[in-house]
Amino acid sequence: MRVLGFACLWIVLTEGDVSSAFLAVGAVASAAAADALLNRGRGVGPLSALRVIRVLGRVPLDSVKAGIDVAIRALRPSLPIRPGLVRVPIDVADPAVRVATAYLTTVLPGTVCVAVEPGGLRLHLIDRRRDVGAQVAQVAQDLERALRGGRHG
Amino acid sequence: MADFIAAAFILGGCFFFLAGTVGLLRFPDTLSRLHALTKADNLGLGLVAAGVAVHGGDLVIALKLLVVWVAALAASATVALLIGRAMVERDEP
Repeated sequence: MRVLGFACLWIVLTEGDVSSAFLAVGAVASAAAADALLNRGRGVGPLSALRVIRVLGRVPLDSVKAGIDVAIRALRPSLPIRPGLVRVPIDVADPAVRVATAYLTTVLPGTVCVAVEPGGLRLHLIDRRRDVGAQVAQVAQDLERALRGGRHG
Repeated sequence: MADFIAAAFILGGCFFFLAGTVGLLRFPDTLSRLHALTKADNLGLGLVAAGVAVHGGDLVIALKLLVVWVAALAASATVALLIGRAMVERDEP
């Protein structure tokens, strides 16, 4: 799956240029080897890759919602923001899943992850009255299910 | 027709870049400004990329622009995390 993924990325980046095929073999093999070395024991099967793509499929819509939310707040004369820091606990043991959750949380409307902690995430909210705990926990659960095959059922 | 759609996307992208810059100037602290940079500007980039993809009319170029946008999203989330962590550690040593 790693080799296939990097090969697809190479084809997209070179716009399908066949003259660079000899470079592609080395680049794809090196990238796949480095990835395998860094993520030892975390194999991603075809089904798991599909689940991850489904979770990442929300990113464009979340990005649109988040961009509109910030634009409205920035442009309104009253500047309707109440910024604040919160700790959001997430029940995820794998640090890689926590970091991935932090990245996806930064795309959600109104939240920016500022620290990944052992028991959860430290978030900066543009409006601290919003309760984002359930939303972040859901993202973490979906990611863990996608990557690890459903510890949460 | 494709040119009008492309122009609409690119103008929409410029609007969100403008809104992000206004947020950068108006928001009161560093962590709040990260919201302007990681959300409004990313949406602006996504819309500009979508406009260029429509204008190009080529699937491979559209996919390449998608990769560029995803890389920019990942980079902005990484930078926001690093700046945010530095600010929190400075304020709460």
